[in-house]
Amino acid sequence: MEAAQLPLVLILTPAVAGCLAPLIGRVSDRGRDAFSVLMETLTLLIAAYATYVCFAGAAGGVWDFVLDRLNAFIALTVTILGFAATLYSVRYISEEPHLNRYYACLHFFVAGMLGMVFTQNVALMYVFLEIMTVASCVLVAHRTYKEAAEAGYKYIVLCTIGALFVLLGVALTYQHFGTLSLTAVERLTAVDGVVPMIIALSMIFGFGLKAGMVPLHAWLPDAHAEAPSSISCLLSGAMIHTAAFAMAKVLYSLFAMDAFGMVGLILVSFGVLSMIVGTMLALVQTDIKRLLAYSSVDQMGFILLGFGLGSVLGAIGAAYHILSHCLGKGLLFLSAGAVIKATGTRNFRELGGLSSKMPVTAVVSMIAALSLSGVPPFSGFVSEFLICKAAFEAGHPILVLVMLIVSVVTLAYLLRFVHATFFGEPNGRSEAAREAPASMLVPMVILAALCILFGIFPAPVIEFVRVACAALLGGA
Amino acid sequence: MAAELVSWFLVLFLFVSFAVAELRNLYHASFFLLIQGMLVAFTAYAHPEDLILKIVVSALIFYMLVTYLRRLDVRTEVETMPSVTSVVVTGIFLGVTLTVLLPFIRFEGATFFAVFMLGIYVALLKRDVFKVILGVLLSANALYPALAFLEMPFSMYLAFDVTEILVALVMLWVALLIKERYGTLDGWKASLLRW
Repeated sequence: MEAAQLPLVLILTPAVAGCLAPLIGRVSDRGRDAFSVLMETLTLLIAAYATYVCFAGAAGGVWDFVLDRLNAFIALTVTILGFAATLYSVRYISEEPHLNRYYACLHFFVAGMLGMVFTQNVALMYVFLEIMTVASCVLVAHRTYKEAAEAGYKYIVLCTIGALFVLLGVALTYQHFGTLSLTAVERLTAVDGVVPMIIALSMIFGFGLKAGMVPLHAWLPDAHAEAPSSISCLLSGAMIHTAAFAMAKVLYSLFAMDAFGMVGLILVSFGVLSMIVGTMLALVQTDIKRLLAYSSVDQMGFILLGFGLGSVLGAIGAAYHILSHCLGKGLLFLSAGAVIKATGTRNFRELGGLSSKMPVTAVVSMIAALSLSGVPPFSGFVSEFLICKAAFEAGHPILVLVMLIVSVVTLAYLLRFVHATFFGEPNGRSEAAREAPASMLVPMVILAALCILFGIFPAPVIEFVRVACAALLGGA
Repeated sequence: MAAELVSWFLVLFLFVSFAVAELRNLYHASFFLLIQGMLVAFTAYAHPEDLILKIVVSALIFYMLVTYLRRLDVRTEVETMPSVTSVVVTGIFLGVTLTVLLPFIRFEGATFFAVFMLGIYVALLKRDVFKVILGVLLSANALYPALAFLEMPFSMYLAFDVTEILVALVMLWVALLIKERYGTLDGWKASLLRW
């Protein structure tokens, strides 16, 4: 298979799975589950192959779907979580109704995210953004109880408004640049006039809303909390990252480094705001999933800050943070799902002493918490260190200070959650709890192992994305 | 003559958009959304296939809206704000857009942008869930004339239209869930989730 065709194959594989899974489900539930896991495994393997092909120096694309190192890297993070969430779903959600709909939307959700990652056409980005929104909205409201319906309603309305702003940006981009293709666009060397700034603001507003950037994050805690945990894992670990990545890709492609200053300042400002507000709101939560959702808001701040700095090191740090947050937060949502399924509560104050009943879940949760807080030797340390270094090199020591404080507070609220849930005195709910089944534990253990692996051996990944980041920033 | 026609069209477009935003009868508001879609189709699209596609999509969305209204068993909007607010919102955006952007975009562009913002206002500030959906669709329609100028391949317009239908369908499904679970379409009452 040629490298140029890989993006299309990668998008079509889950899309075909989304069409076939409900048909198979009419015949056999187990057949549908096995087929879904198989197709997501296949997608992961193709993404791994695409990454290998890029590593070997190949690149290319057809119809504005481009395979390059950065696209392949982000697609790999999406497919890792797509595989983990599907495998986890087999036992996690097996007793619930409407599973044909669930698996169909899960596959289309993954296909939409991969489309967003690979396309270099801003109009197609809008289409994939909406496919992602529609599929994920059905998944958020999947359980159809009152709060799930409300969360789904908020989610679809706000995200569609965000998508419309992207569409406004698409129309203005064509009017100003004369093309919709990011590979053909001639970068602006100066922001002269109002239209380029409106394009930048429309894109930041539209993609930022989807990325959960403060103050546009209103949908995020509700959607993450009310969705099934396998879906929260994808929303938090993959979807918001694809939106942030798309935003960075569009802005870097439209504005040369000389013109990026003002746009970068906006991104950095929203990044810092997201870090501070997300951390403060996470501190006061007692609902496990809402705490993790607000934690995603604060971690998104790091990514925006990394991209907003407008340096190669900052972009590498942001890309690495996408990987480490994808692994760490995905893992935490999966372990939260296991705890909630075992105990029947989302309030961690009602829990305690679960480490003796669920030892594997306790260990992987601790690993994820330490990684997200930037503690060595986990992957989160590497990415936060890179972003801090980029901020310092850009002459913003105050940003380094803010990031360090946010990391310490993140460690505090995540350890508080882990301690309250897994340690201390067991109570009534904990007594009856059992460790999650193997099909739920396997994806968690894989993600935990990757958190450690990418923390201990960061160099190959950094080298892999460095060239792509430099190219994205126009050879800076 | 052509300029005079454009002016009349813009006045009609604004009037129809206000009707979608402010009519309390949801069937009537849906009907005016259909009219708005038709206006956009006839004025913005140069190629017959794009025009027919937009008309079909507008008609399909109208059919979906009316079907869901029957299924939801509602006719009028739950509590509404004074009509003058949407006039003020549109006026402000029209004024600001004309002042700031006139060197860059024409008067038509400013009108469409004002209607786009009117739709966003309806989607964000109206209490009625069905009206919120109409607001989103209103904004989407206001952006279509801008897209028509892009002269993209037919397949791209098809992708946009299919996406719009899918979004409308899922929004209506969620509205149905809200009505079934909360017994009302008042978005302020259907609100259990807190910080």
